[in-house]
Amino acid sequence: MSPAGMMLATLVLPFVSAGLVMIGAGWLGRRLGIERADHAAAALAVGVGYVVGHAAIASPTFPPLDVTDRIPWLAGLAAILGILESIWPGPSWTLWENRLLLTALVLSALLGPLFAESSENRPSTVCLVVYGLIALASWTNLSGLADRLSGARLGVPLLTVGFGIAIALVVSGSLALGQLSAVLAAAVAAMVLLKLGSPMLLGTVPVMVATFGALLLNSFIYAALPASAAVALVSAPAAFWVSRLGRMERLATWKVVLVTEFATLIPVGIALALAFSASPGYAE
Amino acid sequence: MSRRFASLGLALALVCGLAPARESAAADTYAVDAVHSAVVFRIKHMNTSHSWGRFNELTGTFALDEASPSQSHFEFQVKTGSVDTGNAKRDQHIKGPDFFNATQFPTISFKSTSVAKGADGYDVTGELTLHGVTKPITVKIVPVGVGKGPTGGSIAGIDTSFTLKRSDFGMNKMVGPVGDDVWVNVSIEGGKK
Repeated sequence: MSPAGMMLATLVLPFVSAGLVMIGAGWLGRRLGIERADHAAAALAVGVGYVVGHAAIASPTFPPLDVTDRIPWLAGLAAILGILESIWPGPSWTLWENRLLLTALVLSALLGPLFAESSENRPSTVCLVVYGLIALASWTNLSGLADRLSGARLGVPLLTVGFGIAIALVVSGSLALGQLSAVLAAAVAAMVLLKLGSPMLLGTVPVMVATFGALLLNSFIYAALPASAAVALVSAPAAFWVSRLGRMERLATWKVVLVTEFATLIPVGIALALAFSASPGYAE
Repeated sequence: MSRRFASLGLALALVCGLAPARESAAADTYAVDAVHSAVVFRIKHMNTSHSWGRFNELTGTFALDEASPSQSHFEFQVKTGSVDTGNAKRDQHIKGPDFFNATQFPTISFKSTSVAKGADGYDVTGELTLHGVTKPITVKIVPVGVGKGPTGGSIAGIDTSFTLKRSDFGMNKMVGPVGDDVWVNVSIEGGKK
């Protein structure tokens, strides 16, 4: 694939597909009188944008033997969950139940092969619990942020984290996983741009948590992303809360975005530095 | 009655006499000597040059029966994580999810299912498992020689070369910048078990 083709598949294709789906599905939803149609459309748009980009970069085989080939299925399921939760929001226990189920599904899809008889890398129960807790904490954090912040205040730093993950994964031994992270970030970018002044769309949270989580876990377990860098990247969205501190809420949006960007760049920068320092150079 | 005894005696004599003869006619089985064996591969880079690599960990056994080729068998395993292209960064990339995914698929294996005498060697058909996908392939195995090793034990060597499409085995990432066809040469020396 030429550099131009790579850019097209990694950034343009998911961005355009997500944008078109967002506009089309949102219009259709509103026309049909579906409540919270924009939330459902956003979940569908980010899911479709990711799956289209994934197929363009690394056409998944079926059945999906390789763990990377399982990620579009997880993204699709997460998008369906996001749509259902948007259209028919249930009591809070159903949200937790859904989070637990999707987290368990992501973990079993990504880590299942390590439980094969021949595997020498079987994760301990403690590791599984820790991965699950991290995923649930990320989900809770993003949902809480999406409830409270406007599109730009959350979306722009979210893109910084998304593209930061992409660079870290490329550095850590997988160009494909890095590209797939950029695909997801590009799909999210379409949603952020189309909803710049609106509240963040909650329906996309399951897609982002499941897909970014699967890509990070894939890189950490099967490529060479250092654990310290993975922790820094996962914790980066916690920095978004800076925009809720003190007088920040009264400041202009661009100022809040700027401050949040600085706060976000700290963990992202640390993660990139750790990934670069752990990676052997081509000249070595 | 005496004829019956005579028959039994003849039968016993045949069994006792023939059993060792049959054993000596059976092909000797050799265990792979990884130090004197090599699995080397070549793949196109950016459609302009060939990049070379090898696997450093190889195990297995083989038996070549010249008198009865169908009794021959070959079984080899290669540790995917032992891939070595002479560059640490490239090795990290090749071992990862973009190519071999050595953590998920730690072994490449081949097990013969049929062997037939060919023009310049043996046509060996078997199951190749790579990247979690098992497919039948047929390769030509050429016996290189037999002899005595430095410790006096019997040794034998075989060679084979073949080309496979990595995308046939689900290794379909970065096809284009990195070629789809992989040329593989396997040179094996085995010590008699």
